[in-house]
Amino acid sequence: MRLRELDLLAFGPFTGTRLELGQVPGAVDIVYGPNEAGKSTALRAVSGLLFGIPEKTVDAHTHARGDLRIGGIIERPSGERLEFVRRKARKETLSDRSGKPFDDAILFEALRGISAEFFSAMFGLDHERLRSGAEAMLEGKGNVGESLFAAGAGATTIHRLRERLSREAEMLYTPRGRDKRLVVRAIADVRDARQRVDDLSVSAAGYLEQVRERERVLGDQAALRARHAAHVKEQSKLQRVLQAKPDVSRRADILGKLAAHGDVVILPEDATARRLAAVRKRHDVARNRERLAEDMERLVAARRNLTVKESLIAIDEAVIKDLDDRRSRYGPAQVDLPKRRAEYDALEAQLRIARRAFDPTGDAPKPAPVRLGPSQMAKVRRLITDHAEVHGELGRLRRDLAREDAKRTQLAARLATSLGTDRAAAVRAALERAPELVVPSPETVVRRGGEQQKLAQQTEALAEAKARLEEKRRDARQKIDALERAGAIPTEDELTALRGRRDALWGSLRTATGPFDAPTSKAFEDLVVAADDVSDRLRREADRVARLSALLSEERAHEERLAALGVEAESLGERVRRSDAAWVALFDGAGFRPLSPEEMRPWVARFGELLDVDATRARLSDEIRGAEARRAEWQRNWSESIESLGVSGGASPDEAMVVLDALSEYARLVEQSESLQRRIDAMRRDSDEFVSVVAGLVGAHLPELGALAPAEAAARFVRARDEAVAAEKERARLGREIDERRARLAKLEIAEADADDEVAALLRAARVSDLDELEAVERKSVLERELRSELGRVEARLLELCEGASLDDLVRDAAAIDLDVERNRLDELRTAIDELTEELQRGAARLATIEAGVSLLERPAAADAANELAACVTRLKRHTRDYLRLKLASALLDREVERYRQENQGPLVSRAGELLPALTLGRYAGLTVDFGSEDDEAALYAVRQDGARVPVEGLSDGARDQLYLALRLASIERYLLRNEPMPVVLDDILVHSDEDRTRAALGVLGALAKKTQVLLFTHHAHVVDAARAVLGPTGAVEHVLSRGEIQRDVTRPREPRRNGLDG
Amino acid sequence: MKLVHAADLHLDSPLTGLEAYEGAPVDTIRSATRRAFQNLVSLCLEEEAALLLLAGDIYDGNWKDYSTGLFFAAELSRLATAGIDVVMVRGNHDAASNITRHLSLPKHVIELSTTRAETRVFEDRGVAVHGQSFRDRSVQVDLAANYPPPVPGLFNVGLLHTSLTGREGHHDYAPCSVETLRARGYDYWALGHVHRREIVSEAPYIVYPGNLQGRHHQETGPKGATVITVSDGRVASVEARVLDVFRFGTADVDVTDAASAEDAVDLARAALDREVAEAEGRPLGARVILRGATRAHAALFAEPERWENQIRLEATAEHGADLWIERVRFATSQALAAGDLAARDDAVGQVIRAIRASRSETGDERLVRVFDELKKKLPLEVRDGPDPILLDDPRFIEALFDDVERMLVPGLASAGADE
Repeated sequence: MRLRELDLLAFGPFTGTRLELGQVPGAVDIVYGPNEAGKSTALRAVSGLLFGIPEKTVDAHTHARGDLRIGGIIERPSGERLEFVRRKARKETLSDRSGKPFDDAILFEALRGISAEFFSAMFGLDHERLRSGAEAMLEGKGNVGESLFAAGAGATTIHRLRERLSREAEMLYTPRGRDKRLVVRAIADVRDARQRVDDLSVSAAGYLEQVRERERVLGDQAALRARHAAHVKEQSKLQRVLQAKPDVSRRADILGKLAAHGDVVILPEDATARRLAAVRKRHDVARNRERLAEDMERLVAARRNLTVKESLIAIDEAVIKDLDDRRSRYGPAQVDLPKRRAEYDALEAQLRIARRAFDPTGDAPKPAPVRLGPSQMAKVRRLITDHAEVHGELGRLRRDLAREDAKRTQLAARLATSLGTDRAAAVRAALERAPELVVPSPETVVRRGGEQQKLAQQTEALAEAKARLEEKRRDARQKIDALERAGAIPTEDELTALRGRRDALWGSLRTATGPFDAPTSKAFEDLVVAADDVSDRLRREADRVARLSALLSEERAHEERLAALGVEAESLGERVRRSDAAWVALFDGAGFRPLSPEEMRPWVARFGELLDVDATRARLSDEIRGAEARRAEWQRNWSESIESLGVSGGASPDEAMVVLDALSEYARLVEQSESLQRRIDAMRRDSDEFVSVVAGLVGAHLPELGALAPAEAAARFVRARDEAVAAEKERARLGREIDERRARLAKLEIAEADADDEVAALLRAARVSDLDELEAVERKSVLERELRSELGRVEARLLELCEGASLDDLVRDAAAIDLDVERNRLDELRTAIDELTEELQRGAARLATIEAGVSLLERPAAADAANELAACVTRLKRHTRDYLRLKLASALLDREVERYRQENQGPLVSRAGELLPALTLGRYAGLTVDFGSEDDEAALYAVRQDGARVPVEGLSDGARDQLYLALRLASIERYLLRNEPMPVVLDDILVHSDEDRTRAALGVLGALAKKTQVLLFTHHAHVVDAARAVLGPTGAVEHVLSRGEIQRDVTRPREPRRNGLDG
Repeated sequence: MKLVHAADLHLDSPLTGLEAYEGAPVDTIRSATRRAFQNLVSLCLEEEAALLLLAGDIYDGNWKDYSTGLFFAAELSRLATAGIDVVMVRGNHDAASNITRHLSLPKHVIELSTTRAETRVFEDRGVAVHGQSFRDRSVQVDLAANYPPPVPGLFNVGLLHTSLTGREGHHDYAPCSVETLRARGYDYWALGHVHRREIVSEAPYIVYPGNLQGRHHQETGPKGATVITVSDGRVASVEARVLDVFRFGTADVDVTDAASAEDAVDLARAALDREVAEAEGRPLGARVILRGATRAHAALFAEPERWENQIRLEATAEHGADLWIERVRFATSQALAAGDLAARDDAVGQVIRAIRASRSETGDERLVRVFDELKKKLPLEVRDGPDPILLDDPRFIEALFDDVERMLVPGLASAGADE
């Protein structure tokens, strides 16, 4: 099959680009595409056309995925042509040119059923594939089988595939591997698991043996338990009887004693206690009564012996307290009084000395100098303080007034001169009357100034307006004169006058009867003509008439306005005069004629200052007068006060101060002296009162103390009174004690009666008459009671041991036994029971063990192990399966590679050997196969011209590429020998070759093209040149691929375009 | 009145074909057959059944663990107090079993004679049960032919372990025809031996209840017992009751449309979701089979282990203990196989032709001789159960070559193209 046309309808960057191929039979189709012209896209298009566009195509950028289209024509060896279009889709991707479906099967048949992969592997070759094929050959160290196989299948990785299979298989299993591979390990696991199942499986016999053992042990246990129970029962009975033995004896004893006693009165249990209590009570009563009687006697006697001074007790407690207080003060006062008197004498002496300060001569009249009261002293002190202030104030005020006076003189001078010398005298005179002087206020001056200024402005404006109007009137007059100078200008008035004259004449004419005379008619005619003439001129010179009329009325208007202005100016002049007169009038009182308000303003202001100064001066004068009055007042007070001090009126405040201080000291001494005098007086009065009080009390109550000193008598009196009070208290206490003893005696009598009653009751109960007999009965009763109680206890104990049997049986059994024999038996039983207990425990332990074993056997342990075994088997199966597959594949490949070598080595190696010299420019003469020294597999060697053999590893990269190419071409040729030809698509396989090698390879391809279609895609212009040179026009057809157009048979391919077009 | 009919308990028989892997729910298969049997006993109690009919194969024939028998007896004793009697015949497995011989069964459990067909009449319930146990593991005679005539006025049940005229995957034992059974004139034939539930006939009813618990990937779907409701001496209904505790299933996935291995995994996951749903909450042991001519084929076969693990990983992530991937089988083929590779006149064609030629090779030169040494080492277990390794079986060898071809083709065909 040959590809005759490749039509890139819509693919990659192409739209409607067509390549017509295979037109020269046996020629190489060289498709030249500059770098970005889409050469590789075109290559993909070949595969896409024949086998379909891949799902994940990279060529759907310019055209949408669904729009991709590749058209083509292929020619079968029979000459039949198939033309179809391929589109990108999942199904029905083929159609004919008209869009009708094209049967896949037809193309399939034409392609002889080969797949895209095979086509690509067998007939497609690019420089990368060439290089990787060569490298794979190197990896396999030139292994002939692999090399040939790889070249023959286009399967460059056959070496790697074999290696992988072999490696993976070996990881699973190696027949003689020393280390445990997965399969071997899995086998061991299966064995172990199987063993576990066996180990854990419980055999029926084993289980049943266990069960039987359990039965046996259970039987043994039952027998042991029965014996144990019997022993325990016997032991228990024996123990009871033995235990009962002493009580049985005791019981018999008690019963015997009770029978011997016969009838006995049983007294209450507390009878003896009651008797003893009653007897003791009677005894106690007797003893107590005696003691109480003695007490009474003693108490009554004591009360009798007490004497109480009743009158003392009657004295009020306050009186006694007062007496005692006075007594306590009286003593110290007696000591103090002489001291105070001495003190008083000392003060008197000091006073005498102090008095001499006022009266150095000592001849001052008695009594002592005037003593000033505190308020008077304070007054003098205040006057001393005021002295400086009163005098200082007056000085300050006088200084201030002098300063103001100077200020006024200065201001008055400036006011007088500031209005000019002519007015100075008048002003000065006016200023003398300053306070009364009436002068306008500064505000009035300003206001007047404003008014006058406004009037002046109005006058000026009026004058200006008048000047302007006169100018305008003159202007209008000039224009009227000019118009009138240019010729008379008819006026309406003129016309009216003429018409009036005409009409008048006509009126006279019409009413006339005769014929008209010539002059009249001439006059009438003249009037008519003149009126018409004026009328005509009026019409003709209407413009001039109108201007004259306008100018005349303008002139009139100006004149009227000027007249009005004249009236206005007169009125304004009057107002100015009035204003000036009013201004001058304001200064009438001042006595001088003022300057203009503007000029008067500073003067008026300064005059205000002058008035202020005058006001200050007036105030200061007032204050000076006040100060002088105050000084006079002070002086008066001072004189008075000083005199009261006894100092001459002219004394200074400092001198007065000394006297004042002395006076104060004197006053203090006098005060002290008087106070002391009062105290001495009080003390003396106190003493006197005390003496009189003591005398009163003693005289009334205790005259015997009258001879004692008052203090001593008072003390004794107080003590006597205290004693009387204490005696009274004692008498009351004794009374209470006696009453209490009486009450106790009464109680004793009641108790005695109770005790007698108790004794009587007991005697009655014992049926006896006296206490001795009662005691005997009591003793018997107690004994009887004790015996009966013990019998009860003994029988209760015995009943406990009976355990259901009757007391009589037990008593009988106990009576019958021999103690020694039974004690021996009991020992035997105890030993036997201990042994049996131990045996039972051993049996129970054994049973537990068996039970545990049995329940262990019932667990599904073996079943669990069986599940594990199943899992192990599954794993083993998987590993084995994997191994079988890998190993079989590996073995198969080994065998087939070897077989391929055997079958193809001869022809392929010899053909490749023929191609190699051409491709290597004769560097290598051929190929040979030999067995290496170490490896037992055959290897390829290139043979140099000199006969030396070079292994694949020894070849240069380029040479190895050429070797692989030689093998590939040989394989393709071999394929072609037996199969329909297919186009060989080569993509820049010469990119690594120099020019000579390129030429050599092109020669070889030219030869191949004779056998089948060869498409060589390149983007190297030199390759195209070389092809042209080597193959000539019949050996190579050139196609230039650029997007959108194809150029055929270009003699000189254009230089590759630099700026990119390819997408 | 209700009768419960079960067979093929295979107590303590392991669940096979399940290999533990990271995340596999290994605990879910423990005591599966025991738990299923407990479910059966509970079913009898719930339904207040008159009788429990067991049609043979209580144990695996080669199973030696006596504790299995003890468990069986102990469970049955739960029925004694409820007054539910048990009638059973021995099957081929039981006949071979060591356990059967030694186990003494409770009084309410009646095992029919091995020497002759016998009839047990339950007057109070109006039922007569006829049957005969297997004397030894291989009974080749038609036992049913000698079964006694029906008891008039009672509901007659025939209890029989048989393969009838042969059932695929099961050995032929006690062969008999449906006609023979019909001729007996019984109301219900309670059969055992075939593990797949089957109502062979409805007049009279001839029923295989199937086994209680599936044990490998060929015993898929719901498993359990059959409840027969009898009213007025006639069958009113026959219902299957699901009792299994672990389910086997197959996710047969068509991955033709998968563009990549990842797509194939996604499709498998979707199929597994459906299978898990069908197991109704039971843990599922699922086999995944990927089929179809797919573009994912090469990728899948380049790294089968990786994709199997991927499927397991996703199954575990999504279903946890509810899903155990038993095995992933890659049965895909090359998509767009425009031509038969074998027809190619090149090295690849030669290999493919060689693979096909080798599968039927004989003689010492045959390739499988490389496994002779391994064959001796493999334990017998690999020959049994699911996916047996049968190196002597030509069919196994052929399948092996198929696998090899599938494995090699993508590698060889694409080797030149896009490496």
